[in-house]
Amino acid sequence: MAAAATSAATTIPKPSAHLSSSSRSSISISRFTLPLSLNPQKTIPHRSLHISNAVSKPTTPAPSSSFSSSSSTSTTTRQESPPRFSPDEARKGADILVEALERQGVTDVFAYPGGASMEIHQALTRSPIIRNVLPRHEQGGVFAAEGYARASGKPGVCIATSGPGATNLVSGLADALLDSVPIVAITGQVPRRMIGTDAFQETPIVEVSRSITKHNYLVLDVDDIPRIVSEAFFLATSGRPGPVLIDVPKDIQQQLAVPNWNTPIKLPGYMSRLPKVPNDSHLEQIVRLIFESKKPVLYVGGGCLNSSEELRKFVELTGIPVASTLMGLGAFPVGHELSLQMLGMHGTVYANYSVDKSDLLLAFGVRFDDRVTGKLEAFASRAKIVHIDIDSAEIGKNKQPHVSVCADVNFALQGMNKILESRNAKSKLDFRAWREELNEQKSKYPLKYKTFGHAIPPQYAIQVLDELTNGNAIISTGVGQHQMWAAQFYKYKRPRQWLTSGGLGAMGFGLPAAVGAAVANPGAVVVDIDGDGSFIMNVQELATIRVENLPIKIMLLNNQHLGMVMQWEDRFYKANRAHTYLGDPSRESEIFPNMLKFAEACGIPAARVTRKEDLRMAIQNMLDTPGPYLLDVIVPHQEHVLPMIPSGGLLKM
Amino acid sequence: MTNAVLKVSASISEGNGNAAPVTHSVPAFTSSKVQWHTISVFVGDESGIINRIAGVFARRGYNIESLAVEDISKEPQVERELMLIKLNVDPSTRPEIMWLVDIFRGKVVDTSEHTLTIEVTGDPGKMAAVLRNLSKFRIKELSRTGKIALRRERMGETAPFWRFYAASYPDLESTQPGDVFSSNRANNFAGNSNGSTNGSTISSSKGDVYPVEPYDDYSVNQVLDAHWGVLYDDDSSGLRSHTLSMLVNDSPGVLNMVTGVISRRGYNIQSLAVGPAEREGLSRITTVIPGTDESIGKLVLHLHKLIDMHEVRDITHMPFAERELMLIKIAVNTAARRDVLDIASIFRAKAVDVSDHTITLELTGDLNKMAALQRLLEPFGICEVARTGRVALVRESGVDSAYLRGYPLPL
Repeated sequence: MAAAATSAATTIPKPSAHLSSSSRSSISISRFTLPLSLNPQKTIPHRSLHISNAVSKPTTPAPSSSFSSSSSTSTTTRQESPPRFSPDEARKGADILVEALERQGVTDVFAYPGGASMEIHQALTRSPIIRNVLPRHEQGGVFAAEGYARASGKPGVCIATSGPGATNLVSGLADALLDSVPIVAITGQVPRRMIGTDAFQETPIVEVSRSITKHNYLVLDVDDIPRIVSEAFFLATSGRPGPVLIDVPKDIQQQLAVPNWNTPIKLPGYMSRLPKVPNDSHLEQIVRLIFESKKPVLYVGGGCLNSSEELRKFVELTGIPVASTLMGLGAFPVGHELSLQMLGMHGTVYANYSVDKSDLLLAFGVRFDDRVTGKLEAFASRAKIVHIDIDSAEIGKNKQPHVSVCADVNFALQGMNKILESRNAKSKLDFRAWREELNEQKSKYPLKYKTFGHAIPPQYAIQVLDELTNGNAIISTGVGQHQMWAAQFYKYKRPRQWLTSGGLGAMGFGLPAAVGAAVANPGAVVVDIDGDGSFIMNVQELATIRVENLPIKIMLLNNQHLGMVMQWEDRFYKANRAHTYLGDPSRESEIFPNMLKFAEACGIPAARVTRKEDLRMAIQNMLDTPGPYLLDVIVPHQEHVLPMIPSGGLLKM
Repeated sequence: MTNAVLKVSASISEGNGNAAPVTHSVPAFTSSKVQWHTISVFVGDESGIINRIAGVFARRGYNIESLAVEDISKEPQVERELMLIKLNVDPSTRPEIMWLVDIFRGKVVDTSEHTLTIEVTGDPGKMAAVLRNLSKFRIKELSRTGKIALRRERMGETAPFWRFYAASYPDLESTQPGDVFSSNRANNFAGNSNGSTNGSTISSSKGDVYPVEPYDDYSVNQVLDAHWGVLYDDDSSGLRSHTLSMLVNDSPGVLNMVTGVISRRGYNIQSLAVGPAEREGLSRITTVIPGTDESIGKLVLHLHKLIDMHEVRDITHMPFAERELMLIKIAVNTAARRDVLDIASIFRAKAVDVSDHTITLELTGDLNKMAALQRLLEPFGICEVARTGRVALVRESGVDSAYLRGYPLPL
């Protein structure tokens, strides 16, 4: 919970987004303006059109002069939206659901309608607060919600219909679980009476998603909606964040009820296990270990995204170098002299060297993932390990720590900083020799790449992008070689600037995640660094980008191959291409598919660049063009992501 | 879950081998007349099967309480349930409690200064009566198995069983459909052994996507012993059966969630018993899982992450009373009945149903007792066995005879 609260600093106030969205909807989609709540009387005849059988008596028009105490709090800033319903007026379950979302502070949702979720969409049109960004695929919707959450720290919300709509959410939910991203997914479900009858578009999504959500709900009583929604948001954002799914049968969406907003949440077991403020004696112990160590190194991950201030202070006080996981990039500025950049399979030589040689590994907000550790026995084999994580199940899961604290890293860092200050650590701690040893490694094995004639090295493209955006853009990626290069060569300055599918490694993540990030941060520069394989997996979201006019720049590193798998083929399968060529085999000289035509189909300006000399100009042009833009950068497929430690291998390369 | 709450007790009888289809399905989710249906399912003894079955119920919104191949609710049947109750007692109430225990033919399994743990078996009606009578003494802890049931045999019928012994019925043709079940097991092993077709490439290149050793030295601890499989003492690797006691919300899908975590993380359930706990709205799940202290410790942490979980305790290393209930139907003609009853009386098993070709016995006790009885009755021909999972409560007395074994006590 604290995790979510502290992160609000990075977001930009929303009102401008609303103005633009409401004005746009009134121009283009006239049909939807009708039920907007400016005139409450109008809703009545409109609603009677699609009443099927559940609603028999017509509802009385809202007096709209009386305020419900709670809804007035949410609408104080927007005087043009009177409460849609009087407090004791019965309304549909879908309206209760939407109001519950409003009460959670939701302003944007990513919802794709269908038979079982129509009611929710109807109710959304009646909400003056919530804007729907219509994705073109439910997977795009859930990835966009993830992008929204990753970029803002606030829970992302996506809505889909039953059956195929719900199953299309699966990859996104799994991704959010593995990367601990707070999202709330709402799905329509067939009416209660038809559950279990294999009805049209019925899937038991609660069953399907059980192992890939933090928790999920099947609403079986309309009166439970307020409680379930607040529980869902609480669960998604508290402790170790994660995805929560709410499955709402259609008859409950239609059922009339008077909501009771004061039903308390009931999570006794969960509440009792939420991590407490860390124990001072444990923190003292960690500080003592720091004082005893000669070669300490920090290993920080996604758990530190909300505590970058404290982390920076901690590093200033101690002078300990920082290696970051893929998820933790940006928690500590990558360009800082104490940063060792990313560690792990494709991490820098010096980051992996530091972990290998260290005598104290400070693992904060990490989970010792196999991409980082390689062979577990060989990982940090000389070091004492300190593990701080919010999830007690992570501690000792893969590697047994010597000292462990189960707590929010932010509180732990605060406590340690206090202790360090009181001990005057800054003047006493001296790791200069260790830093020099690492600096030597840095200069000996910097990140580098080869150049082939006029061809554009993909790493160079990212370096130029970094320069031209001054390291300030929000970067999203797909999965594969381009993802690793984007992790290595872009210098992230702050957390929530780097959006990537780490744990699940879901291709097609980049474009929809950029949509979410752009919705959460209007005005920010959002660049989707994508590969040709990943891009095409959710290419339909170009339509969303155009329609919403989101200023997303797509820098496509197009090598006509499924690069990462190809790299493995080159190394371990004698370069035998097993379906990793994504171009047209009968016309290998041409670029296929022509990505520019995809952009053209959606009215997005695009260009292709093939020569190194033209690259800087082309990227500058992309950034200068207002609105969305696609830049197809043709890169050679011979490039490998280096350095590389194959799984099971050791550091020595 | 407002109306049709189907009470189905999850008790898995490992003794009975492998999967057989469920013949009757449950009635639809419509009527407001709630009935308790008893559905027996015989399942294959493999990791994850309980979860799949629990999933079928949860998905349809039913609440589970007995998993054993035919809807037998409409047939005459023997129903039994086992309950362990820990009560607060003081000297003034003790006589009355003992009197009640006597009336309900319960047994005291543990006693300490302030508490009394008793074991009661009976049909669900009796359980309700027991609870009503004992509730005024403040029930401290309660662990129930849920109901198991065997069909009563009619007189003059021949045995419809799928595992009868030709020796008991020389007059019948041997048409054993048992072959179907054995093939299932073979598959199980095949599934484990393949998967390293590309082993040579992996070991030579040292570059698989995952940092694991080749498959040769990776042994999966499948089912320990298909029949009983309990390890009371840890073997060299530290592996032993752990008894976990959990308190969970009583809502649809909880059992599936719990078993899901267990199977997903690669653990195997040896025994599982679910029943209402001492407080309204809570269920107690008692389960036995083989593992090392370390691996079970990790499992407990993962179970803690479930939102509907209130409490998990690994009570393996505490003195605890464990009981299990077995209903066993033996194929005996009138001639051999006397012998069976003799054995039964030694084990203090009760005859609960008798016909001219079978007899059904009820037995409570710990696992070894079950095994011993079953082994002795084997020659007569066992038609059906229904066992609840084990239920366990910590002994307040702090004494467990198992812990005294190492001491040089005069025996």
